[in-house]
Amino acid sequence: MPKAPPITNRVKAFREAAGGLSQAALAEAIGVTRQTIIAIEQGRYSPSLESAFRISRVFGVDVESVFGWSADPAGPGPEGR
Amino acid sequence: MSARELTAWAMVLLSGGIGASCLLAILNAGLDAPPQPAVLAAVSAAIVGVIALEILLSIFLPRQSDAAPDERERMILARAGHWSGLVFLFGVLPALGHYAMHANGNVMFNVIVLSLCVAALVEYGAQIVLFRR
Repeated sequence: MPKAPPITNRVKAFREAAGGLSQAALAEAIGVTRQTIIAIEQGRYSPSLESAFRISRVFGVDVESVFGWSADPAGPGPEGR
Repeated sequence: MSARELTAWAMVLLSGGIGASCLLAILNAGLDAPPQPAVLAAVSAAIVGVIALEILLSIFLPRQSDAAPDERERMILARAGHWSGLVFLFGVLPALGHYAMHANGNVMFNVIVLSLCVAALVEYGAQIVLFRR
């Protein structure tokens, strides 16, 4: 099994908090494939800085609300904002 | 499954079939035999197969097949291409060395054809593994 990247994310939580935004719709909004969104949510792929910013802009929050470092647990999730 | 992974599966099957056909023809005739008609037919079949695959994808998955690879796919394609290039190099360099020593173009041709098939298998196989990882 490949080692998981140290970047954690709350993309799925934000997606669900945003009225159940689909993976396909999020993928379309930031210009990647649905498979890439799935890989990001499952922690199998760390997005580029550009995509990380695009994702956070879709949810209307800053990057660190969505992405965190595994050694430094990510900030509050959508329910805490 | 994305169109790109679907393409990779189809190409693994295609290059596996073509590779096996070439390998059998070359082994039967001998490595130093001149290019075999079966090998040339297999190469033609590969070209027709790739064109047919592209047509089918553009008919059944028009948006996906037309889309440029995204950042993750670009990374996967580059990594698979890198491994495939290395495999090809491991076949081509000895073939060129053999040609330089023995001036036998038939051996070089046959080894390069087989290397191409193995490199294609490695490239598309690696794509499948990396897409699924």
